Amino acid sequence: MDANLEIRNIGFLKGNAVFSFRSAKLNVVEAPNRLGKSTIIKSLAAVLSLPCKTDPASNVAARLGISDSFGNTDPMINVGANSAFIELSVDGERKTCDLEIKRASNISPKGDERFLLTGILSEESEITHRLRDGSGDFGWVVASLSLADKYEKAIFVVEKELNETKLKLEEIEKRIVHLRQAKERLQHIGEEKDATTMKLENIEAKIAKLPSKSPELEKTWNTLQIQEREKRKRRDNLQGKIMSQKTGISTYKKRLNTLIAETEFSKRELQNAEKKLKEFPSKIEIDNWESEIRRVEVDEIPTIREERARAEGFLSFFESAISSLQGKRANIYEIKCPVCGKTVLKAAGEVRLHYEEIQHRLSALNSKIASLTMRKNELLNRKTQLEDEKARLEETKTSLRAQLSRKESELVREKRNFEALNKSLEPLLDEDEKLEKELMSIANELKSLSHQRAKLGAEERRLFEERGEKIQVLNSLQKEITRLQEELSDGSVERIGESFLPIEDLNRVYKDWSQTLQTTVDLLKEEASRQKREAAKRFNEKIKDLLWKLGFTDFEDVWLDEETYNLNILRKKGQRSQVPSSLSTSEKHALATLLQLAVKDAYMPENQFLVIDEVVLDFDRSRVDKIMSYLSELAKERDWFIIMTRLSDVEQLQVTYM
Amino acid sequence: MSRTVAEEIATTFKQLVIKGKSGEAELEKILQLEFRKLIEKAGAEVGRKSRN
Repeated sequence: MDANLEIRNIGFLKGNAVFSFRSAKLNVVEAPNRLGKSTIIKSLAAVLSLPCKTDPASNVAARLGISDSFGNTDPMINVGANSAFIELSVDGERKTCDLEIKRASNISPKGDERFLLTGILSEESEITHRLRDGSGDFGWVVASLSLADKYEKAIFVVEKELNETKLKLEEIEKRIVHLRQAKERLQHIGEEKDATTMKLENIEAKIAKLPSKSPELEKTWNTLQIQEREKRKRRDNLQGKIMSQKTGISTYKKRLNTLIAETEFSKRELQNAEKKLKEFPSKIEIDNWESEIRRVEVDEIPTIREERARAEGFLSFFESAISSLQGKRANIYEIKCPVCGKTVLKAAGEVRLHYEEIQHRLSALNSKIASLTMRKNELLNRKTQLEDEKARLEETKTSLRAQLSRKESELVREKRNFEALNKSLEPLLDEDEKLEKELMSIANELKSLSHQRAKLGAEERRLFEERGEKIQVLNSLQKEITRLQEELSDGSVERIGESFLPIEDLNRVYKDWSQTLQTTVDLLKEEASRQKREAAKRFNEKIKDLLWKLGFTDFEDVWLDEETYNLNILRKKGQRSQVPSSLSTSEKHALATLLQLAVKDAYMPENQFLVIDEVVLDFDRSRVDKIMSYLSELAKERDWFIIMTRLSDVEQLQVTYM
Repeated sequence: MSRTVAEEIATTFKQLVIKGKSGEAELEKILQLEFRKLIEKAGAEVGRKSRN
């Protein structure tokens, strides 16, 4: 199987270049410096891994120079160009990267960032980088390359929800304490009111026993007292009604506020949908695309096809020329070139050279046709996608408009009901005020009558003063009772979605939810640890296998601790294990190669690409030879494309297949 | 009860991961759904109590 890598304006390479690689082979790319070896590594890394979103893959991408620390791909584009392109096609499957300066890159299909951690062995690889720094912490391997990473992200989501739930629970518990205090205070004030009423009745009984001066006065006095009792009773009843009306209004007010918020929300949703619709490409833009599609379809592709047909004709000419050369050499030594029309070809070698040139041109034309067809399909797809999206948005807009209209009519109706309810409270409040005034006036009249009823001494005056005071206290206690009742009615129920829940029930719900979330976090943590342990185990098995296959006899064992994920190295049985910082530079390089192969095989064997920069194979020749022969065998066994770049004195970059 | 719900959430997430999805967005939806179920259940209980 062949893989074609086509690149334009990547790294040092300005313009187009095409490279072919073979599966089941060790593909050795040889060139002097600055002729594109790193560009090949970068291009393969980019098309197979971008976009990168998480560490440590993003760090590797930045070190390799395929993206900066913000994830922009500008560093890959040739300094003299504004855009670049990479295409990797394997067995009819194409992967492309469209890059433009200061614009988000278009990668299709999206790569897998794990490739940067598994499929690239260079000075910039994470393993090489860590070992060079002497770090033995390989927790990142099991976290990033196993499913543990997904569980860690899920734990973050659930913990965030758990924290929000805990905050809400705290707020509810504070409210419950506050409501309990208000209830206690209400009870206390009620008791105080009862005691004050009793005291008032005692005072009034004492006043009633004051000696009488005239029967008429006595009659008026009795009438006034009856009136006062009746009015007070009426006022108590009235205040009960006012309270219940106010509770009703308060519940209604909450409902009204929810409705207002919902209407506002629907309005915003509708505005958003309208805004999105406005942002859609206009008909002119879509027409432009269509004319571009037509241009590609009608002009460009047929023109290139014609050119291809011509090239095919030339090719068949040269094929017959070559075959004639084999048979009748003498007669065909001099032929006129059908391409330039001038050159007279005199030797078989020259004819073959022209034949190869035409073949190369034909392959470039085929690629161009494929790329134009792809561009045409992309445009068609985008147009269909946009039209579908627009239709969906139109539908959403219509449904939102209907929803908004429903909400608005409901709001008008409910506002009218609310106003009517408020209005019905007004006469009750007026009556209450009137009764209060009447009671005050009766009290004053009784006071003045009592002066006439008896020749008042100091004891009587005190009784009347006390009576006035008690009435005042009762009034203010009643006001406080009303306020507390309102507070209790407002705070003891909360609306969540469609349900009104008493605050105690809400507290129970949040406690249950908090426990559920905590248990979920614990379960996900257990699963993440299990995944990590299994990943470490798998990694260790691969290392052991490779130690034997690559003949690394100077290491008895190399393994990741399955609890701490630290790397341990044992040179000889019975000795203490070592950490990576204690190794020599060449040992670190050898170990990096071994670990990279183990990582690739353990975590991403399904990806057919393995890219190696030979610079890292900086250790003894016999070991390098063993690794090369192992790689060659591995490529055959797995049908992988193993691509190795090598510094060489050859004039042009060349690929050899081993 | 909370353990059963937690186990359901964790199992659903595990299945999503096995299918190759990242599962974060789906997990947020599952959490919202489970919380709504709790609220609706409490609301129904309150309604039943008030009717009795």
